[in-house]
Amino acid sequence: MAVEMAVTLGSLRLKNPVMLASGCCGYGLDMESYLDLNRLGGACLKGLSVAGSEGNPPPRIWETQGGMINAIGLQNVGTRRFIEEKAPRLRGYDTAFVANFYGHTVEEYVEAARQLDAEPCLAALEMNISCPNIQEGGIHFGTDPAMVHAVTKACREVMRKPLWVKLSPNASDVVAVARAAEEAGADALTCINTMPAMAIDVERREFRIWNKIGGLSGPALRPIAIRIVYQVSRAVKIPVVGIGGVATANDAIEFLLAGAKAVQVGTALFADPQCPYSILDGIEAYCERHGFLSVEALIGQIKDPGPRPGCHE
Amino acid sequence: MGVGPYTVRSNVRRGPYATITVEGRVEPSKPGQFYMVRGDWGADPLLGRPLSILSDDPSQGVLRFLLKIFGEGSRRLHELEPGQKVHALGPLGRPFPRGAAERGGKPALVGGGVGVPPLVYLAEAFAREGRSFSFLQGARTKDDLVCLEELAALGVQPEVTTEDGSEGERGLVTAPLKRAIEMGAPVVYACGPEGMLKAVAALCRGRVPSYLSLEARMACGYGVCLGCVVPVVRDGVRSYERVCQEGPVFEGEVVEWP
Repeated sequence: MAVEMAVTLGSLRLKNPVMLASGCCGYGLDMESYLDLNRLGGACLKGLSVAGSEGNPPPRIWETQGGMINAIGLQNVGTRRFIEEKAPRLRGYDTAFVANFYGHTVEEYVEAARQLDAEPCLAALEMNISCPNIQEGGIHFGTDPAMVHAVTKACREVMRKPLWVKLSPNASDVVAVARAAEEAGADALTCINTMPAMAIDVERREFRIWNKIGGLSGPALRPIAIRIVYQVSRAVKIPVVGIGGVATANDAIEFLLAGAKAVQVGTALFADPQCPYSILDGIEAYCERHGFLSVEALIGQIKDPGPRPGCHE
Repeated sequence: MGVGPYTVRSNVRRGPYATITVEGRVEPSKPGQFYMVRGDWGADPLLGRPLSILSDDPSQGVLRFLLKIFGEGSRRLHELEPGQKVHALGPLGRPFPRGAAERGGKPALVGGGVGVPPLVYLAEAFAREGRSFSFLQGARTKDDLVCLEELAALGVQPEVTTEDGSEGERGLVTAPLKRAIEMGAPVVYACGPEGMLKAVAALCRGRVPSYLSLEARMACGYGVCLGCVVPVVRDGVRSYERVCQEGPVFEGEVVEWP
């Protein structure tokens, strides 16, 4: 029995549901020695801004139990250099490259979206809204449904490619943010970005990371991500892409059952750049074992007992 | 590029140090390169630890590392027993450049603590080529002197300094290094604690080229996480470079110290 591995996210068809996560695979090219990108559903590239960024001073990372905290500072070459130097080398691949982008103002987001939308090697754009809005006193875009609506709508208007919005878990009502993004024209939602976190060296009484606060990623984040994927995928009609601590096939299947149409593998790549292969093989074997003819048939198939107290849906 | 798995053949512990030999498919490497090594223990600790190659033998499928316990990851590696599985990704990074050693005179190899292994590997390469060199090892105390058996097997007599005078010359490794430079060392290769490297870089500046192998916390080891950067200044332009990719070996002249 051959399992149909392809999944569709709106107008975009992925050959399978396993993608690489932004910030964990460079501009795709850096993975070439380890992974055949053509075997993957796609890859979300390192977050880009119009101006680029040299990133934060070290230390930038700290390992925690079952995860890590990073504050790389969104180091990137900028949209123009990406298009001139990196993108030409991505054009020969048969996989879905998704450019992740960010800004500090709505105008910066729009300009990045406009430039990247014209790049033929990209299948979609993924908007990182876990950034401070410098016009609104540094409040993170992703915490506020109204700001998310505004920035999503503004980008959607200048683009033709699918627009994915990557939600932050650091919002008091993630579902409200998800609905705002959907209403403003998002084509898919990526759930979730890293969780703001901190670690302290008690002997030296120093922060482990230069930026003091970084983003927690890895398996420790997964239960939070699963909960958000479940809640969001039931609240919106657009597809949800699951991310947060996917390291094994079981992790990926958990996301698919919760309602994600695809998953992104991030931090696990650091420990094992070839783990997407075993995740793919494991998903296929699971579908065979449980009689699912396709991955699509598996999505959202958790046996749901209905509403429960405190589990507002 | 090897991505494991490997099997532990032996693990020789001495205090916080452990010399671990693993077997598997081993790609050819050069002195100064490293592997990301982790045990087969699931998600915690999650990430590999960067370990310099002490020696390897691709024809026999053998790799050797020296590690010291610093935290949980290295403590778990220190506990590995023969027969256990490990994952090792490598060889990674850029090796020690050898061009400057061609100019005649005796290159000076300077190591401290877990910075010694890549220099033992370099010494092995020089010895095989019949090139003479001087080997300087500095430590806080004699218990922190490492790889003495490996050096003896290569016929290398290290010049030893200890801060407490418990072995060799009392003081810092920069003292014999200064003499080596005065004797006409054409190049200095060093790996060790940050304080040692900073002092070596300062001593060599303007006198002799130095190549320093830096240590940094790494998540991936192969260039994608951007977690291991150090500030460098090249032609007056400051930027962050990855220890895993542009390094771990940097010219002493370009590194900006904290």
